[in-house]
Amino acid sequence: MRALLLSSFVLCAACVTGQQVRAKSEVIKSDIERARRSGAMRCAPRELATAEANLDFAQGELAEGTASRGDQHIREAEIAIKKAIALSKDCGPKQVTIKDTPVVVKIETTDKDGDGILDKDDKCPNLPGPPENGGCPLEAPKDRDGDGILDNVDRCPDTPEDKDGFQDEDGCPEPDNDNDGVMDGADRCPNEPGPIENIGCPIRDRDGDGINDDKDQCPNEAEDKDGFQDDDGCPDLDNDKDGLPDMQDDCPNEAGPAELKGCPDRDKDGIADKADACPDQPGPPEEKGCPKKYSLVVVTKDKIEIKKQIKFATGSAKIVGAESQTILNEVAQAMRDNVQIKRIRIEGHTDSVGDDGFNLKLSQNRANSVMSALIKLNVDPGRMEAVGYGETRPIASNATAAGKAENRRTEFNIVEQ
Amino acid sequence: MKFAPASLALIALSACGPVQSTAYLMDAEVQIEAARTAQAERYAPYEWTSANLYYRKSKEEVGYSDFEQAVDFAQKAQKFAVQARENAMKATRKEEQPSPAKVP
Repeated sequence: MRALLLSSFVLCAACVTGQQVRAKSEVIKSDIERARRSGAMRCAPRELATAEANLDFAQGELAEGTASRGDQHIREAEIAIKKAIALSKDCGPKQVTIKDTPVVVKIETTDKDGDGILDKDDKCPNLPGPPENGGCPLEAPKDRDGDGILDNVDRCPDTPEDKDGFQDEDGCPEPDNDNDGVMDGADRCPNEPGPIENIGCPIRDRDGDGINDDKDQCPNEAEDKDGFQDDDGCPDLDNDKDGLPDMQDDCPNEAGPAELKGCPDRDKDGIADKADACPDQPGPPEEKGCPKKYSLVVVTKDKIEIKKQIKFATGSAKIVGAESQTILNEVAQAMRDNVQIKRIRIEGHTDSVGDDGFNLKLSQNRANSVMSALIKLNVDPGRMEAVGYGETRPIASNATAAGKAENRRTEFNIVEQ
Repeated sequence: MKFAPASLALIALSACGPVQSTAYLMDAEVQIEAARTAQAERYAPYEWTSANLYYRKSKEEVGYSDFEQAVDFAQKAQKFAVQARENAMKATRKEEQPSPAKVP
């Protein structure tokens, strides 16, 4: 383990980054310019050539991505240029004698630091530096904030870059990348602007139904906008929940059976209310859902009323008279027309004249007689029952002849529909 | 110099990296030899040094199979060698005819 750590350390120490080599080559380049100005071409040509060539080699190696070989050349260039500068220090001619004319030109100006700028013009005569800096040395770029970006390219040299993958090259930290007012540390979507109530993330409408996801109960399903509960963001495919999808439902907001295309039928006459002229009174289709008008019979909610009474022979259950037959025909027709009437009770009633037991038996026989007549008229016997009540259920006074006549009666009461 | 036409023909015939770099190196070598004959080491030390450094580096790049760089450096070596020879020849001519001014 120790050996591994040691070898890792040695390897890391040996690593040379391209950035380092580039930085050194910039320094050497400026030294070469300085040496040339000092007359290195004349006083140290070999050293100057060696420095220039090695700098060129280093740059070539960098371009090839071999920074370590580039570093070797940089070192050679460094040594050579230092020698060149040293040799060029006193390179300038102190005196020139022109043979043909007896003139002696004395050069009294000096360049002590050998930076190519005469001492009289050099702000730092003892320290070499480029002309653009008045002959004073340029300070090597530093990294005051230690963010790895040198101060000369760092727009915020005293504030370290936050290195969060967003504009990390400028050297300035971006505490709120998306400028949405929610600091990146608390922003769930630091690179996408969004309101604080959504923790910095943009409010979206994924299903594109015009209701933002934060208010959409079904953010992945678009609201169907059919005028029924359109604010919750959820599609309502069967508004009335009658089992028939709205697309196939003629009455999507009112529950109804499938055979009526989802439309309700309050009077259960098989005609949907919207097509039923009398939605609360059952009736056949030929009457547009209204009760059929019979001459002697009226179908109400509770009973089939007969306008005239069925007549029987005295003390007998035998039905007599043509009018009685007409009444029975119409009752049978009403039963056939009103299929919603599942069952009727044919009730026989008498007045109080005579023996109670006899009257009870007579009323039962008469009810049976009516039921038989209706069966003969093709009314399903399963839809009927016959009950004789005798004189037990009078509807008028038995003290008068008119009252007794009212009490002698046959009723057709609906017991199931 | 006698190798130059042959090497140029070789370059024209082939675009292959190794062949090209070898041809340019041969040309550079010829020019360096010519510069040596003209005493470039003494009279044109800057160009002479440069020519030799580039020549060596070009050979090194061939060793790394980096033929593009090798060609580039061989061309530079050749250019410096030609300059070295010309400068050396100028300097020797000057020495033969003494100049009016003398620099101590």
